[in-house]
Amino acid sequence: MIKSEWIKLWSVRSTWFALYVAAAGTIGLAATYALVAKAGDVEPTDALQGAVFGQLAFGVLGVLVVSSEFTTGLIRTTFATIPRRRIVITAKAGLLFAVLIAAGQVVSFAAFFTAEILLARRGVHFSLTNHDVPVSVLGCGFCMAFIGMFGFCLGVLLRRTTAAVATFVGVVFVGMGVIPALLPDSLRADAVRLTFTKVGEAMATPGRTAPRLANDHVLSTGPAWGVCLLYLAISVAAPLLIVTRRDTN
Amino acid sequence: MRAQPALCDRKRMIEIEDLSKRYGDRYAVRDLTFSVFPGRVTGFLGPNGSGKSTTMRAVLGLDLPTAGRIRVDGRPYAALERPLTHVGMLLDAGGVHPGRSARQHLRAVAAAGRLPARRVDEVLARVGLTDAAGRRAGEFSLGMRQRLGIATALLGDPGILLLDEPVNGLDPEGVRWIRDLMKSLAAEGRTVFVSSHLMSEMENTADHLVVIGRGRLIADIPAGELIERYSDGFLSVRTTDPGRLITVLAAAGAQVTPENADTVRVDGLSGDAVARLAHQAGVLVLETARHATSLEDAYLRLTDAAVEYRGVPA
Repeated sequence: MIKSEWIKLWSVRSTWFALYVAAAGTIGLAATYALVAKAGDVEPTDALQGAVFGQLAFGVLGVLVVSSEFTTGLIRTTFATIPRRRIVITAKAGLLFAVLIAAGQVVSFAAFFTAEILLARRGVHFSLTNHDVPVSVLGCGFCMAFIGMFGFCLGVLLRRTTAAVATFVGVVFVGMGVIPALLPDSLRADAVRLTFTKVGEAMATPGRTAPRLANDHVLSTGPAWGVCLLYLAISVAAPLLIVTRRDTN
Repeated sequence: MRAQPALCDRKRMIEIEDLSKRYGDRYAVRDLTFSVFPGRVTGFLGPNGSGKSTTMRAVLGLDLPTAGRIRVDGRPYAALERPLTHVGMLLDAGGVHPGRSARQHLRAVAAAGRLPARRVDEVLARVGLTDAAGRRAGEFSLGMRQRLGIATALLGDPGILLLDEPVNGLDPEGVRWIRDLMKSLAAEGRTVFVSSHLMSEMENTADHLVVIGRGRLIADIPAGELIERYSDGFLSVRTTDPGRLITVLAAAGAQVTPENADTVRVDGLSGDAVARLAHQAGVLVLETARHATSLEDAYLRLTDAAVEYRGVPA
């Protein structure tokens, strides 16, 4: 089953395309940052802000891995081949997550090293051994992989590529930015902290040295990982719950 | 309660018992009971929207039935070990990612079904796609896509084949290829269950017919019998003495009406019987013409009441 999913994953171009976009966006932004940041106040973890491109590309890949199977009707062959649908979803999710974790770490470390090398040429030195920097880079890559799994979850629930991609972008990049602003003040800070982008920021910035602004609501590292793992668990559990209850037409 | 045949007698059979499937408050299939047997092509006929695809999906466990039982090879589908070695399927959309090559598609399905990888090349050869195996399925013509679908169905060398509208949209050559293939698969002892909304597609292929309309069973009979039972074939008999012939044949129980000055229309008697009766009565028959109803006509009569959406007669 894993082998089947492996063949399916790598035999379409969209997989490669999504990984290229993730790498180009994340590493490209790190390089840009390294070239334009003011030498006086360089913050190494700021070089990881391009992870937002990685998150977008991974999310779309997560959607496509499953929605393309629903839209082409291949899912019927798959479910007829393996009537226990949860095995199918588990294999798909497991393989996708493994690939996204690996790719996320590669992209995230590559972005960091790119920034390090370019900044060193400008005389600004920092390295992976600095306090908490490795945790930041790992967190950045892990969060990217989680966002990809959220896309996968939407792909199973909505089954159509356009609907799932639109929902993904709407929730992750638009809704979570807009909705907290509409909430009463008492809830706003907590709501902001729990948005995917802010959780991702919290995971990618433990190595930050400069203090944050008072109105910048970000969880500390430990809780951010906890929230991310909880979101991840929900993103995998929801497809497993729904998939046996629906017809496959 | 019908007696259940022993498990070994139910190999390669599809048994559907009291199947109902409801979407919202509308029944797509209702109280459907029939069995499909090996060694012959069974046509599954009904107008569009009559529940054929729903039934096929239910057999494969893709649609969850509202009520009823389905057995494949004597067992519920979900209980089959390596289902693709029991049942091969071609469902209408084809189910191939346009960006994936034919070979990669088959390799993925074979891996999921725990089938030996050599089957991929075997089925590619059987459907004549060996040379196109490396091309992306999106570049395929409709006919080639359908061949790839058939290759997928044959991957597990299954005893049962389920084909949903396999000739839809194919050119005449493709239609003939699928017909010949279905016949040879049945001749190999397999169960071939093929749906269509057009009787003409089944006319020279199906040995047995299961006809449904509005989700209910209308007929479950050998193809040859459908004509006999539901056709209204009649004879036109030209004679030198229509008046006397009408009397003689009517006395034998036929319905006889004059068509014109020297011809009568006879319903309910064979040509042999008419000739014999005329001979005994000394009436000279000049010509007997048979107006047979086609399978198509019989089918249309059969399903007329069950057509769901109908255009206004032109």
